[in-house]
Amino acid sequence: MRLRTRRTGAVVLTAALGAAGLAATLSGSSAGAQPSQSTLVCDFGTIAPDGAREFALETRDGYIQTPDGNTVYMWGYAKAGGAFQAPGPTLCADQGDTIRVTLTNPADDPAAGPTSLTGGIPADTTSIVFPGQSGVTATGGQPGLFTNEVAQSPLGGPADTVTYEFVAAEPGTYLYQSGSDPAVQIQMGLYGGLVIYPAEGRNFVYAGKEFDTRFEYLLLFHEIDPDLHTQVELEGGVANYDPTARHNRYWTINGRAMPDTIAPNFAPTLPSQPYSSLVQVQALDPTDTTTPPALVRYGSAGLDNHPFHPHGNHLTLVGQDGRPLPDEIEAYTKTVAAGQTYDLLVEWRDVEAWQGSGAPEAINVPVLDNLVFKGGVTWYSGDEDLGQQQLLPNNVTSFSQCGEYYFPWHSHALDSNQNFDEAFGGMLTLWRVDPPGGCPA
Amino acid sequence: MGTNPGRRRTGIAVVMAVLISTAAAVAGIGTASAQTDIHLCALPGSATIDDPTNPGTDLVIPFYGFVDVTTTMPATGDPCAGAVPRFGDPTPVRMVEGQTYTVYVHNRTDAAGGTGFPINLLVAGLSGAPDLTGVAPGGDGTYTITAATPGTHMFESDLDPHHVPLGLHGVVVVDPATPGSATGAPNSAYDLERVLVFHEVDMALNTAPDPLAFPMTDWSPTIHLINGQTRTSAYEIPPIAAVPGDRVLVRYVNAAPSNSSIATLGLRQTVVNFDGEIYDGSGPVGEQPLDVSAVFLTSGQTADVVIEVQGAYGDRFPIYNRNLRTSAIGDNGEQLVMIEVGVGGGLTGDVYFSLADNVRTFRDAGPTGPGDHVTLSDEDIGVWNGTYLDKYFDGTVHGIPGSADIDAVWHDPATGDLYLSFRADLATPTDPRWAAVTKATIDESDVVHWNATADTFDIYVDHTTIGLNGSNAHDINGLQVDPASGEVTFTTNGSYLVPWKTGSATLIGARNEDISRWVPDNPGQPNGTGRVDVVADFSDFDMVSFNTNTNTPRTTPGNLDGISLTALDIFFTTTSTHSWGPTETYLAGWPAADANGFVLTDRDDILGCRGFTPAAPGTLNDTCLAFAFELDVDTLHHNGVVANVDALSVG
Repeated sequence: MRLRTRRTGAVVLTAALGAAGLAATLSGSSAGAQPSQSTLVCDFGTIAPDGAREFALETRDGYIQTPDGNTVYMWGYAKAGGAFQAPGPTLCADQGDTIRVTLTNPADDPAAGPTSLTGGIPADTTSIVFPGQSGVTATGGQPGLFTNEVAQSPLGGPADTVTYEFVAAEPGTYLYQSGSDPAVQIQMGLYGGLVIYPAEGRNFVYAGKEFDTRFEYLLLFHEIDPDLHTQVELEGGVANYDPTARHNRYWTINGRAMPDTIAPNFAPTLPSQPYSSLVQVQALDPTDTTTPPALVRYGSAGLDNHPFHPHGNHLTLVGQDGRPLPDEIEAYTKTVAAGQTYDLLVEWRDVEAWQGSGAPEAINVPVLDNLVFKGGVTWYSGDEDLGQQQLLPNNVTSFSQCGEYYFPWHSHALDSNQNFDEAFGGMLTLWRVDPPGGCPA
Repeated sequence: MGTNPGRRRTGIAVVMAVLISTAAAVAGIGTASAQTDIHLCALPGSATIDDPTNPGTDLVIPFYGFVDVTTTMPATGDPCAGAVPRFGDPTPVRMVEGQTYTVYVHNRTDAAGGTGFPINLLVAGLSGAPDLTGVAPGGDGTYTITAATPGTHMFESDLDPHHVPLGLHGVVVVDPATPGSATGAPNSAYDLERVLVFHEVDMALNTAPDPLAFPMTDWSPTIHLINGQTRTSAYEIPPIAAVPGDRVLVRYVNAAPSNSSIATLGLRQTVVNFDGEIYDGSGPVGEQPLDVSAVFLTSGQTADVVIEVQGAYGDRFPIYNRNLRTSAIGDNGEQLVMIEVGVGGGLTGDVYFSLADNVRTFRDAGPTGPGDHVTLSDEDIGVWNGTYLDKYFDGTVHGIPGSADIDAVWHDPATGDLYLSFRADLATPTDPRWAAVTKATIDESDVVHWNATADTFDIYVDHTTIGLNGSNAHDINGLQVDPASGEVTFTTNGSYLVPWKTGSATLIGARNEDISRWVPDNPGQPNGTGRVDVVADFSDFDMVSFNTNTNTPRTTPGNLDGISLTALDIFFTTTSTHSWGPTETYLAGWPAADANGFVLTDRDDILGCRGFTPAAPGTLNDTCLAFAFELDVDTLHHNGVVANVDALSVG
């Protein structure tokens, strides 16, 4: 474990985020036929000679940035040899694949200096468990309570490695997480998503449930008490970590807090938080009966339960914990309890007749004050109809590109919609409805 | 049977005695039906757990709790006399769907010198209008509860918000009219069940001089429990012992004010009943059976889930609160129970046995309790059903002379028939029920079949068919039969050598610690041609006269006596006490010897080789995952006479 200095420069970076992140999001979304820049980022691993789909992971420590200018020391799963990231890489596979995941907790090399990206985490042991999977075998390492675990590898010595293997028997959305001292290690950030596509193809969530692959999203929820993280950072371990003292200050989706949640994937301003959670969809023409809906996958990776909902429209719940539901269920607020996952289809098909120019019913133009976010900016286009834009008053900056709609999509436990007492933020993202065909270039 | 596998079955005579007294007491109260009266006492209590913040140190938690005294209350006087509540008690009050019950609530919160406080009773989903008055301290109240919906229900006193956090909660299980499932629906059928009550403690409340004056706005739980215990302790929550294929019904009761996500790892759980709604596939959208890895229970909710156990012996699968609330540092969460595959699966079902002793009397052990003495002779078959002992088969009644000794038995659970072998050669009884046995003498290696329906006897397998020579060494002293295949699994009193196959010159043999099997060529026709297999070599477990590790003789050899095999376990007794000296080395699995050596078992002990895995053909590495004492037959009676079990059949 190397002790790191706090990054004072982060304030500048995050201060610039609001504009930079949003600009990147919006400019990247102009091509209607292209996937959203916030869609699911899959790591399909590599195929071993025996046909298994292999993923090599390492535990690593690093920092995330929060929109209030703070940085938080975290642990995470990273691709072997890769940099720390929060959350861990999203592992993707096809039904029937044999999934093989190797894990090491690499040694820290003092000679590599504090900026080294190759060190591990100061945990006695660590591991991965795969909730919802059956028949997971663990080879190597040492037996732990839940599964085999590895110690931090000695510098210059042989790596302590454990290999987990199972068959991706059932499609759906899953988590992977630490199975060692999980109350601490999951809180510190050792979690990630696992997506298994059904045999029918990667454009299905379950058999018979097709979705538009341009618009597939994974939202992983997590909470952070920065005091505990700082304690682990400063003390170089968890010996005095007291989980009863946990008092969350940050709530994240895919490792980011609002407004960072809506910045695109791999936003350069968020180097260790690669995954966006902006849910971008295209409105469907009412006569279009062939374009499948968008897909949103929820996963509650942290320790708390989160009542999550979008504004603007209901959803269709089709799966839970990696199993299709017997019936499709119209869903609005869905409490995603710790460890649970849900699969929801998202469709915008002339909702409330807000279609094209000239809505069939009179709609009151909202009071602009209610639409202006902090700093005199708005996502409002100036026109109630989808795909229409109007002039806005002076000194108001609209992020609307082509009259698209934006709605909140968030945890309705509103205490989690903040960044260390600054609202709104936290476990909040937006969903963006583009007009049919997308925004014109 | 099927619940609480592996427990030692003792003390049942006491329970039976009290049950009878209770019936009398209830009648005295003047109720209509003894079966539908339930008596609950509310009392102060004290629980001891391992201090989560200081592991290894006891933490004593004062609490108030309900205790069901229906079957234990004294015949006269205060029904709560001697009652001791258990914190977070998961033992359910069982009701049957459709029945109406009178629940007597005896408020003894003023016991032990306290002033007490009024309480009431609410059974979630079953109570009618709430009782806003309650039962005064020292008083008794009655509640009428109709068991309208099957499944798991929480009951509580909700007259005051302090009551549930103080521990005044419990569990009602409403069984469907046909038992064996949670709801009556096929998808809720189960092999074994466990109730898990999730609850929480703030010691500031529980230790307050006047708990009901404690400001609940300050209530902040720091101790998180299942069934009154934590995982990390000498008071560990017992694991759920199961075998592959078992359907484990877990009844979740969230008695904690917190909402919780109850998760499994490695096994899925199917929600078949949620908060009183039956998820059997016929309900509306949103009430269908759910195959999940985590179940979200808000405070006060219950769920019945079925977990189908997969995996291999030795696997452990956690059920735990995924919210990972813990006050322990470096812990895996306090609310955690393991499903352990194989370990502790153990003895379930009725146990049929015969003694080597001429006559033994088991006092007060029969179905009617005190005064019901059961006397077994060595030509009789007794049956222990987990609750009481009874004589299943009286040899002399069926024409067997009192001088005979049955030393091997298998009971066919489908027909009630018995398959027997005798300790010594027996002149064929002249009783007409033995008319089908044409030979003059029944050999000690013959297997005799008793048809329970016709009450007649015949020779099931003649020893010469197998090749056994009729000597005392070849005496069959433990057996099991599969009538469909005609296979006879047996152990002998000494070593034998027989043709490995009918007519073959190649011999196969085994010793008295081994188990062999006669496999007829034509299924169901045991007296034709066939072959002999050795299916278990207990010398691999040091049940042998020679220590294979040290090449020295054992202090006492092990001779298998009664045997009974399930798909996964082998239950057995030995002919004599099996012990080893302090310097003898035994293989893994047995308890370690101390300076005085070790006495493995008395002859009345029924042992279990759990998770028997035969060696690969041609190798000698049979394994048992664990050995366990399953049943001490001497504990089934009260006068301490040592018995010797020499024939055993389970199921």
